[in-house]
Amino acid sequence: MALSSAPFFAFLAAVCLVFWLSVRARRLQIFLLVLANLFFLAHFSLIFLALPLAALVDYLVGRGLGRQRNSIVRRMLLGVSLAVNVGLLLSLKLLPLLTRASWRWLLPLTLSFYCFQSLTYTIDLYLGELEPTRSPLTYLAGALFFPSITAGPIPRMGNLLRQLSSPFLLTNEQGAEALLLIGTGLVKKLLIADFLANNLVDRIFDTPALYSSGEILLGVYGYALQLFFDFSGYTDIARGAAILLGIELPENFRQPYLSVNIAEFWRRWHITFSEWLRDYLFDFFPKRRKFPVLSYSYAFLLTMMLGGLWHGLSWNFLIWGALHGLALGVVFAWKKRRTVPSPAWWGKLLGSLLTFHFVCFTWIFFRASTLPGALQILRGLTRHTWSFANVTLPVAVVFAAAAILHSLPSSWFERATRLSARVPFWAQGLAMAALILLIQTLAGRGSAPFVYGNF
Amino acid sequence: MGQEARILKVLQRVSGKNLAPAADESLFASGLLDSFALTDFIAGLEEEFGVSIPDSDLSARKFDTLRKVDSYISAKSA
Repeated sequence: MALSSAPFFAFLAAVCLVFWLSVRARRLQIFLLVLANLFFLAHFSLIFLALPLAALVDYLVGRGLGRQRNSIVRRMLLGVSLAVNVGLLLSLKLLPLLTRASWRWLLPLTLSFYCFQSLTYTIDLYLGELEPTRSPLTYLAGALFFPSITAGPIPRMGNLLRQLSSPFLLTNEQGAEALLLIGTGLVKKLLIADFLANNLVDRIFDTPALYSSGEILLGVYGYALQLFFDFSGYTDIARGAAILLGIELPENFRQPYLSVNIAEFWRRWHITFSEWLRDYLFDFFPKRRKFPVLSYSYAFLLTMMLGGLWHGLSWNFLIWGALHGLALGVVFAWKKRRTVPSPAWWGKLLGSLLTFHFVCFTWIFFRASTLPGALQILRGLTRHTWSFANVTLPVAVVFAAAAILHSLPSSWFERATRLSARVPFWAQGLAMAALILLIQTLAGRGSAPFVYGNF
Repeated sequence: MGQEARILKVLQRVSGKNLAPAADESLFASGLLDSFALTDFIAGLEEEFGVSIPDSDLSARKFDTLRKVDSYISAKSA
């Protein structure tokens, strides 16, 4: 049940209706959320109905960490949670590699986002930065929260549990924001990302020999846009669906391709993932202030290589992560050696152009299914043939619209939210239903799977 | 000048931004601090408060909010 599909919206509407009809009984609302989570998981595969057992292990570990002061016992409890979550993550990643078979029919979800989120609970408890929840139902409502379980964003369990322990609210403004997020997400996914994938990116990456250097370059830019609109579209729908259930999920993107350096890019791209890497991986690598450049560079490199391998156990993802790790080390060394004043407008422009092209270069390894495939794209770019005969007008229009939409300031969205909040909620709902139908009709062939659903 | 105001002064000097975040606002999320600037921020705190901060404490989560930094410096100064 993809988040951009009609069955998902029917499911969401039903859940919202029952959820808000039970507004006077908060425990019932929590119970309904757990039921909705289980129904959503079971829709993918009945085997995922076993996931609450893994979640209950983390819940019990949490209870133990809340009581125990003995450091050895605390470490053992954390070890159990790490073993369950990292074990689950690795098993699902390694199973297809070891058996050389696709397990998608049985295990269509990778559960990475579930594991990352669960670890924020037990690690924060271990570090004494959180109080455990007493209620197993509240824990299950948060740990298996259906809008974000398939592809994030990755909320901190502490934040989610705080929200689940407070009365649920849905103001007219929040409703308007939710519906706008869902509408924006659908436009991003169905009208831009899928269109660019089907009509430009997939063709070029599948058969680069048939295209000129200019078309391949456009294909690489197109992939950068496709990935952004696919993933941020998913995030918008997930955040919108969560708001309709009284939960606020964190922001995941802030115009990443306008970043002036790679460090800023990682503060604007897949924000919850990069913050997770910083707080739960990078921070645990020992660093020496006596040798800052060396010790930080190796920590950046290792963190990003592991982050790369999380996307898939392949050379391409390892290279992608290593390139980003090295680039972060270079920016760190640059900033350490110079007192860098805030750059002038041309410096910012140059920085943005360099950063965008570096990111696009790394996306080639990310997108190509094999290392020879990535090298073929790079060779194609150096052929110096600049015909654009295969680029149709609709592709050019959607490409330009995507570039403009990415650069729109977030204040436009906030203004639109304030304006639509003036409209009664029932009218907003009707307008949204009409928009969903219109977008689904325009998109025609239905939604392709979300790219990050594979990770 | 109170301890929190002195911490803010160090933070503004390191970040080059004249912002005043709330006590519990994330310094990393608000863009005042990042992993790159953390070492400079810690060096500034050591100089300002005359405390010694070990390398093992080079962690974003320990210095994520003014309140956390305030508690950390108080514990170190005690």
